[in-house]
Amino acid sequence: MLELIHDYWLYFLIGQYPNGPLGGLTLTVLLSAAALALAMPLGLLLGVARVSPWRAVRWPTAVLVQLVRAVPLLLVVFWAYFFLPAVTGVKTGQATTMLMTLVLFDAVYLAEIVAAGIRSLPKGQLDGARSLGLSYGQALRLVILPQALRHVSPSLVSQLVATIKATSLGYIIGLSEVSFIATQVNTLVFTKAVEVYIVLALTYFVLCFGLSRLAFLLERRMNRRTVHATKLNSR
Amino acid sequence: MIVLDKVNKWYGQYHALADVTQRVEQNEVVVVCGPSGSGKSTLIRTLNRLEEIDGGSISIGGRDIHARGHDVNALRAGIGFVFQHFNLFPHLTSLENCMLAPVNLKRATKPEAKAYALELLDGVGLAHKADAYPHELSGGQQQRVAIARALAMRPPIMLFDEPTSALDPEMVGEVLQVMRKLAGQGMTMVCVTHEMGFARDVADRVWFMSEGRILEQGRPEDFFTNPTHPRAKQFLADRSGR
Repeated sequence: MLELIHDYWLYFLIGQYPNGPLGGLTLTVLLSAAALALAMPLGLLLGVARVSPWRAVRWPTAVLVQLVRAVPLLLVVFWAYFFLPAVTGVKTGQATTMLMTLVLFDAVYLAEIVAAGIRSLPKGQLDGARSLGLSYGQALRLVILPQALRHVSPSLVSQLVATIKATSLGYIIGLSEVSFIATQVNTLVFTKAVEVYIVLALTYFVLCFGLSRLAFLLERRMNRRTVHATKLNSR
Repeated sequence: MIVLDKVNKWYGQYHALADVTQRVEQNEVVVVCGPSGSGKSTLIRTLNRLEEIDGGSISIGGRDIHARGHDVNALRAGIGFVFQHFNLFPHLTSLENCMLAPVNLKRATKPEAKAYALELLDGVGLAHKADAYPHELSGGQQQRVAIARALAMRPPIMLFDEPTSALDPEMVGEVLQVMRKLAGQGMTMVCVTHEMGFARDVADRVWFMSEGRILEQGRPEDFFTNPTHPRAKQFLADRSGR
């Protein structure tokens, strides 16, 4: 195992870079970070749209969310990579394709979580905010979302962790992220499949566990005030 | 100050408000009473457009508030509303609850809003709970904070929708006392309440509602001693029997 790591650590870390595209663990981390950073605001937006009082906003969002959720991520990746360029004539790179797919897929799941959080609040919270003269947008930003997001933060973190793991599906369109590289290494060494995939598993574990710990610490720092509206006010 | 003219509202086939025509004068305290399901809450919620109406008109200060294009946020900012279930914001302290609207609606700077919020909390006897979160307060205390929060926008009108119905009996008095004080300061108030003692002592007029209609209205001394409508007689008899 040590010999394996000694021989291939750089390849595992950055792929063929600088003689080829950046890959390996670095690509996985960058891809995950970019996907999380983009999916979070989009998911928030879609989640708010999902429970919008305006039908013209709510319905198209519901259709989008239900459609994307009804399809395996693998298929979405395929479509984005093979089908989209055929239709639009624009060929996107593997990393870009994977990033867009992850953002869309993730945002849709995050939207459902955010919407659930908003729905879990007693209706009186919106009434209370609106009765003071706050606009719908202000009520969301100042009263509804701070509570809703706190309620669903464990689900949000799970979804973000799932995103890290989902980057491994880049493998099927030949994106040289860390799973792809691990498979390459396995092919090169041939006799040490168990060791190679143990290292890969440990890598994902460190990433995912790291993120959930980070989220936990952030949450605890913010959660000086963890109170649930549902405990206080009935409908 | 508030003029209701043939106000109608339906929930599907259900006629929730039927031809309600009434006035509330400035500095007047009106108590709305009647059996549950008679439309009292619906009526009071139409006064700040938490409910829309299907016919008739409501004007406040001479302006038709249900007219198209009427700024609903400006309307609500000028009318305090107190809910049965308080609806305090649980992620904010008492003080922050009272500062949220004035600061975000740019009615006051933060220090101004804070000073006034503290004054209001002191007025409802809760200056010492300024930094407490709603879950650390009793029901009666929460409702008093909710009244302070509504007052923080300096509204000329206050609406109360069964403010004591969700409270334990021993906490009703402290909320009513705050409401009495407000009435004494000349606040224009419309209160949906089952507290007949409050109605008797504080109200200038009582509206009796049943099945979406105001069947009887008058000065409390007349209404309580000499109700004319049979439904009102029945209602008062039922309540005194308990």
